[in-house]
Amino acid sequence: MLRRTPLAWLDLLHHRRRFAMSVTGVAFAVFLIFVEVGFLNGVYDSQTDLVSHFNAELIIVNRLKEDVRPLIPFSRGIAIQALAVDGVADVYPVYADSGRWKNLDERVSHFALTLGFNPSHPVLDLPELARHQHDLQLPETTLFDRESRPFFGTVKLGQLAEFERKRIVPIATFSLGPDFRTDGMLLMSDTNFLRYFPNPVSGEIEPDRIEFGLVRLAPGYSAADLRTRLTEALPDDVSVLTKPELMQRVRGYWKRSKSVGMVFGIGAAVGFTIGVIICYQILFTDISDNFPQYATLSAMGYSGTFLMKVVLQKALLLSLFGFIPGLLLSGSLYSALQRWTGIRMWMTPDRVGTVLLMSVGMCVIAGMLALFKVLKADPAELY
Amino acid sequence: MTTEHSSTPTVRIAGLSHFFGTGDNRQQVLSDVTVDIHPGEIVMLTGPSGAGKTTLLTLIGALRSLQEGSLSVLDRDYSTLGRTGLMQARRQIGFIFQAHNLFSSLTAFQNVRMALELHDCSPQEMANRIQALLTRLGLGDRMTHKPEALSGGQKQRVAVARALANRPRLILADEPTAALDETSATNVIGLLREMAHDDGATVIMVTHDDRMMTHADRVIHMIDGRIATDERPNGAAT
Repeated sequence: MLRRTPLAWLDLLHHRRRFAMSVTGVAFAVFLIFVEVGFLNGVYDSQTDLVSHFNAELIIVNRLKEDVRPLIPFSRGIAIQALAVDGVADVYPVYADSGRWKNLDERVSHFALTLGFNPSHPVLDLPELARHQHDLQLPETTLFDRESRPFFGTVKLGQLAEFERKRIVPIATFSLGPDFRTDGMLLMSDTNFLRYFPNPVSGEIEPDRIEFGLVRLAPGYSAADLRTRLTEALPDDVSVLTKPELMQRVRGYWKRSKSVGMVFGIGAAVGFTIGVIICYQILFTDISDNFPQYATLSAMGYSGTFLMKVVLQKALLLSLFGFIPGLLLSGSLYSALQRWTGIRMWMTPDRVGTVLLMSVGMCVIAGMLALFKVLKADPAELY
Repeated sequence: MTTEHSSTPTVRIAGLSHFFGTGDNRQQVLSDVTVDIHPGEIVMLTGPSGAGKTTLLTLIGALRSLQEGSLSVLDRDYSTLGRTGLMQARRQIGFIFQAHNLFSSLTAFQNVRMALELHDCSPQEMANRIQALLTRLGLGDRMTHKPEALSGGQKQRVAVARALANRPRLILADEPTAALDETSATNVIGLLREMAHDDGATVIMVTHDDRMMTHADRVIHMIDGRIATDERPNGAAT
């Protein structure tokens, strides 16, 4: 038997209808926060997803490049120069451009982001890429992103298709997914790439303009140290970044120039505030109903601290019980949204943890506001 | 009957005055009250409404802070006590209010237990005491009932049990029997008499219930914030 009667818990359970409604209210607020946090991270995760799949410790990009798009190429010669720096095991030059893929069902073209590279380089950590590296050496072959938006039409593997008004054969698919700027994606050999994307004016093949230089480290070298030395060795028109740094730069770009942090941050704050209000209403009603009882406890010699604890325990229980349905609901919405829109809606443990903390904070703030009421419980009024 | 007037009084009041409001609205509710109440006494506090009975009761109960005069209860001088001191003083007192003020979410047993949890008491001892007390008050078969399943009289008896569970040496009651039928009232007053006369507890009760008067050792009648008469109707020794 417990030493203490769990008053907060029994009180909540006793008013079943009210408890159910309270939990629903808190769950709704948790859901709102999850949606906003989900969209915010969805933007960041979607925009950085390609970079996160690069097989590289360091990435060389044009100094002005802040996102995967717009494309801002730099000289392939610089990437070759990096090979000479001590500690660099290999450099993979990656071409990128946007090309028109014809939807064969509807006879309309849509732009797809295309990466070109030497197929013997493991540029991306995609299993399909490793499996088809030899096939990609053949002319007019490509890998097609099966997560691309549906308007690219039916893509039949091994069958002739049209890309940049030329013949192409998708030999396999991989899975990466669209983002806020890219609807579909192709991977191909650098040789093929240069054929599809010649210089628009001269029509000549122009192999010097690459988008990414992926640097592989020799064993025993640190990325931070090599980053410094590469920055010194290479011309000023490029930046040498670690993979996390480049991802951070992309995030920062979306945060600043697209104000996504602001937009969804305000959304999350609204959800939080609604949660505080709902929670406060619940706790306030509860205290009002039990006011003479709390005053009686105070008359019996219970301290103000005890009454505060009861209220805060209720707040905590509400936040935890509201969190669970809120989480489940958000989880289903996340997977549905990811399926429909291709936006990366990832329910990672740290995000679940953050929202859990927010929901606890929400109810505790409401509890503290409600405390003003409970501390007014004056036992002298009871007679 | 034992009346230990040689022992220290449970309540010692001297020159006690109390006011409500401030400035022009200041109203005197108690004027220069002086009285000693001893262990084992059952004292009925009577008088018209507004006579200051309730204010006197809340002051003795450490529910209000002292303004003028001196007040000592169970060897504690209230004039020297702060908030925490007053809170601790209240733990030695059993309060019975007009309204039962039971938690609707707790069973009769749990409501009484709340009072015991303030004191050093093992769960087993608590259970034994609550069981004995509720049975004594005719609620032995109602222990696991919540207030909504109890009649008005039963709820009031649970509240009495809650006030008495700690075996307080001072019991302050405001119309404790108003909501009770004849049997319950007899039951409750019997229990209060037992605690006063056998254990030496002091009972101070505000009441208009004539059934109670016959059980009083002492009747203090108040008018306009003063003690008008202070009598011992059963001829108890002074």
